[in-house]
This record gives sequence, C-alpha cells and structure tokens, in this order.
Amino acid sequence: MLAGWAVTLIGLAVAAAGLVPVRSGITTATAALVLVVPMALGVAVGGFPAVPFGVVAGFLTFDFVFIPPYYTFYVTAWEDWVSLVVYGCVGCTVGVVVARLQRAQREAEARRVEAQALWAERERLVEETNRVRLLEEVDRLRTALMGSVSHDLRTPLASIKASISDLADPDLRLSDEDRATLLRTTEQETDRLTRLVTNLLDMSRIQAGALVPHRSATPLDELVAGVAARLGPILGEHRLTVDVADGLPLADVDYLLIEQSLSNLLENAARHTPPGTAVAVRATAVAGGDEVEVAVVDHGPGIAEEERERIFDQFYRLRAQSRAPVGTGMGLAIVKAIVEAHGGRIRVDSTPRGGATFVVRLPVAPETALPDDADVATPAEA
Amino acid sequence: MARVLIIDDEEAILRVLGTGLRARGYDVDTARAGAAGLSRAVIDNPDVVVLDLGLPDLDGVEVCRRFRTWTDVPIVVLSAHGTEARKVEALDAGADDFVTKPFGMAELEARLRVALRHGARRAVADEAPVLEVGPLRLDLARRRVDLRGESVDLTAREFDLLAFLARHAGKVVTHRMVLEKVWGPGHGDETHYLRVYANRLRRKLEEDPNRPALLRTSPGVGYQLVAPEDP
Repeated sequence: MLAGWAVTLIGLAVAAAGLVPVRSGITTATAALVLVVPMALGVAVGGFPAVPFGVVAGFLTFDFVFIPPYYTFYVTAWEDWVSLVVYGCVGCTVGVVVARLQRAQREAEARRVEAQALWAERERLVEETNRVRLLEEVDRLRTALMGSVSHDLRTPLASIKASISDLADPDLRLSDEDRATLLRTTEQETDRLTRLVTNLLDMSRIQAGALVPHRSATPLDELVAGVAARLGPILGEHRLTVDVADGLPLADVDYLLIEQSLSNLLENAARHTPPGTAVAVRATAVAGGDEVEVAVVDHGPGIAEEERERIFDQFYRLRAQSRAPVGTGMGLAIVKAIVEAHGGRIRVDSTPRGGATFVVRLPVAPETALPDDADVATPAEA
Repeated sequence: MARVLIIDDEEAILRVLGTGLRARGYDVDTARAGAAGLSRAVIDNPDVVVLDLGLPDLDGVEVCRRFRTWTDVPIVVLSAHGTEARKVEALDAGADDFVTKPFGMAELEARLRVALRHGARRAVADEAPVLEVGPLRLDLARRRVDLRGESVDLTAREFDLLAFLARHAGKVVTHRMVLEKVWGPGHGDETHYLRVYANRLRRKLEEDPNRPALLRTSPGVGYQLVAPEDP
C-alpha cells in the first residue's frame, strides 16, 4: 500500500513539474488527464487501498498547480469546479477499474503458484509411491530369492546327507556298486553346491560393482570340454554334443568366470528342457576375427519374443513356470554381467524347429587375432 | 518285502533313496512328477509312498489329496525345513508322516516302518470294534480301555481322543484334525485343550509321562500314537 502511495506521489510530482512550464499553453482538461496517469499507476501497484489516497492527492495537486489562482487551493471560476469534480469522478472510476484488474491479476498469480505447489506435491507423492513400490518389489524379490536360494542349497544337501548316512551306517550292507553310486552322487551334489555358492558370490560381487575379469588367453575347446565333463551328470538324460571349430583363436577372458557362465547356461538348458532332448555347445570364430561365439542350443519350449530381454534380469523366471519355479533366477543375470564385464554380448535366439539358443560373443586375445579375410581359422597357440 | 514308491523331481534324491532302500531290501519304484506318481501307484500298488512336496507339475498337498480319493496307502512326505505350514497342510490332506530335509536314511526308514506297520492295519481299523496299539486295547463298542490287560479309567472326552488317535495309529495327526473331530467343528484353534488332554492321557497310560513312548508329540504339528516298540 505504501508503495502505491509513493508511486502516486512521485508520479504526480513528476507530471506536475513537467507540465508547469507549459501550463499556459494547455487546457485544464489536458492537465487533468495527465494527472490521472500517476494515480492509475499508484493503484496498479498498491491496489484498492491506493484508490482514495490517489484520488485525493491527484485532486489536491490538480487544484494546487493547475487551477488558477496557482499554488493555492482556492477555486474561483465555476468551470474549474466542474473540472475538479470531473477529475475526481474520472480518478475514482479509473482507480477502481485498475484496482480490480490488479486484484484479478494477483489472484491469478496466486492460483498459479498454488497450482505449481500442488503439482510439486503430487510429483513428490508419485515419487514417494514409486519408491515404496520399488522397496516392496525389492523386498518381495529378496524373500523370493531367499526362498529359492535356501531351496537350492538344501536340495543337494539332502542328497549328500542321505548318501553319507548310508555310507556311514555300519549295519547296512551295501554292494560295491551301491557304494560307488552314493559316492558319485555325493561328489556331484557337492559340485552343484559349489556352483551355487560361486553364483551367489559372483552375484554379490556384481552388485558391489567389484566384478573385474582377470583375463588371459584362454583355449575355449579346453574350457568347454571341462565344463561338459563336469556337468555331464546334471545333464543326465540330455544328449550333450560339443562342437568347437578347429583352430579357434584364443579368447581373452577370465577362465573361471567364463567357465561359470557356461555352466550356468548348460544348467539352465538342462533345467528347462525335457529329459532326452539334445543340448549342444558350439564355439566358432566370428567373421571379422576379433570375436568368438559360444552358443548353447537346446530343444526345449524356447523363450517367447517378449521375454527375451527380461530373462537376463535378476530373479526373473519364465512366466510359464510360475507353478513351481526352479532355480534362483540368478544364473542368466550372472552370465550377462560376466559377459558384459568382458566387453562381450549375450543374446537369445530361437532354435530352428523349437528351443532356445543362447549366444555369447567374447573378445579374442590380441596376439591371436585373425587376419581380416579369415574364413579359415589360424591354428591356436597358447 | 515292502514296495516303496518315491515321487521326487530330484534325480540325485531318487538315486540315493533308491539305492539306500533297495540295500535295505525294499522294492523301489520312482516317479518324477505328481501326475506320473499317481498313475504309477495305480499300476505298482505300493505299500508306502515317499512324496516330495515340491514337484514340478502338481502341488504335493494336492497329490496327497488325490491319493486319498482312492487309497489309504501310507504317505511319508519329504518337506523342507521352514515350511511347517505346508507340512501341516499335507498331513491334513491325508499324509501319514513327514521327514524334514536334510535327513539321514535311518530316520526315513524308521518312518517308513511305522507307516507300513500301521498302514496295513488301518485298512481294517475303520470298522473294527476293537483296536490294539502296542499294550493298548480299545473296545469301541463298550468304550473300555485296557493297558497291559488292566482296565484304565478315562473320561468320555479322554476316551474319544484316544479312540481317534488309535484309529489313526502311526499317523501324525495335526492339532486341527483332532480338535475338529473330537471337540467338534469350530474348535480347530483351541490347541491348549488338546495339550491338557494329551497330558492327562499320558499320566494314565505312559510308564514315564515325561518321556512318552505311546503318545508322541510332533512339535508344532500334532500327535502320533505308536506302539512303543516302533522306532
């Protein structure tokens, strides 16, 4: 309000000072019109409370400066009374109109600010809700993971404990063949536990961002053969074929991590395809020569197009198996993290005539890189 | 010798249980899924079934339920530690006993023997006017109980409870089953009644009520009436 008064007073002073030199040359009506302007400005700044002040101040200024006799508040001519009254009326009207406009603008501004605040609040709530939902999801996943991890840990333990309890039973007469079966099962199930624990450790390293491959020039034929031999038992009734291209260049990879990845892919294939179907591991050089490709081909139900991205997500399991989920849902996520830590790529395709083919591309060790035109692989050397 | 049907999707477990039970003289059949197990049972007519609760096709509890629609064959459930609720569900659905993984083979075989012994007799127990469990003899028509030939005084409720347990001798009966059958529908949660009555029965029947040989407690699950010579 004070600002409105100040604007009015300064405006009136400036207008009056400006008009005094030409006072004799203009009509009182012109002066009155000019003096309305500072009052209107004052009202624009100060709103309704500035209206009476502006009208009174303008009225007095008009009378004092522009109504003869000058610099007195006397009014002698009747026309001047008319001018003063008209000025007062015009001043009031203009003041009220401007004040209304100003109030409307203020209110609009207030509404805008309020709307903005509400919007921000809404955003915050949405964010909050999302965060809560995410936490719930994480919690649910953690519970699911705990459940499946403990199931997966307990399953081999059950076989091991049952085997050992028989082997250790002095009253039980076991044939040599039975004894061998039990010992072999114990060993295989111990390996399975080891793989699971390794996966758990890898997963925690991945989550901690501490997965750094220790690369060395690695002969893939050796690695693939080793994994195939070790996983033979879990592949059980699956027919496993291994096909490593002759003279495949050495891969520049961490032996243990890639071994683990391949184990996961094979275990995955064994788990999700019917017994008796074929599982193949193929390793070939990629044209261009700086990558090798390892494919695990199965003939199971395959993976629907829309699930191909998500199967590499942590804890993801195929929808079709929601009835009795198998595995921890970590295996493929670990493979992806490991492959990508090597600068490689993984994808899943359809196997012709049904099934899934997981294809992993890995970098070739520098000193054995093939020449560009390499259709024929060069002999590998360690 | 007794014929066992093992239903489990774990290759290793099938191999180990099969080897161990065959070495003990059982005839062993195996199935890797619930539906396959149910149809094997029709063909093989096993004396006892070992059933894993986590199967790929059917829920283990559902498998129990389906078995019970047509056979009284004793079912021993393999359950994982920490899944007490599922175990109780399986027992309510008609399983006889359970073994928690991981377990020793001696423990499993002990459960199988109890299940086999009582399972064979339970077939006739439903209509029998007289039930015998170890040193106990219950005359259902005359509501009379003898322990080693000596008459025992029981209240009406104690008798009903003992009669129910004897009719299911060898089977682990859940708290809910007993309460609903003996106390009536709507009493399923009143486990404390049951504890009081079980203790009364033990004081009247057991040589050492603190170390019961007849009326065993299955902690958190229920009770099992067995002959003391059972393992």
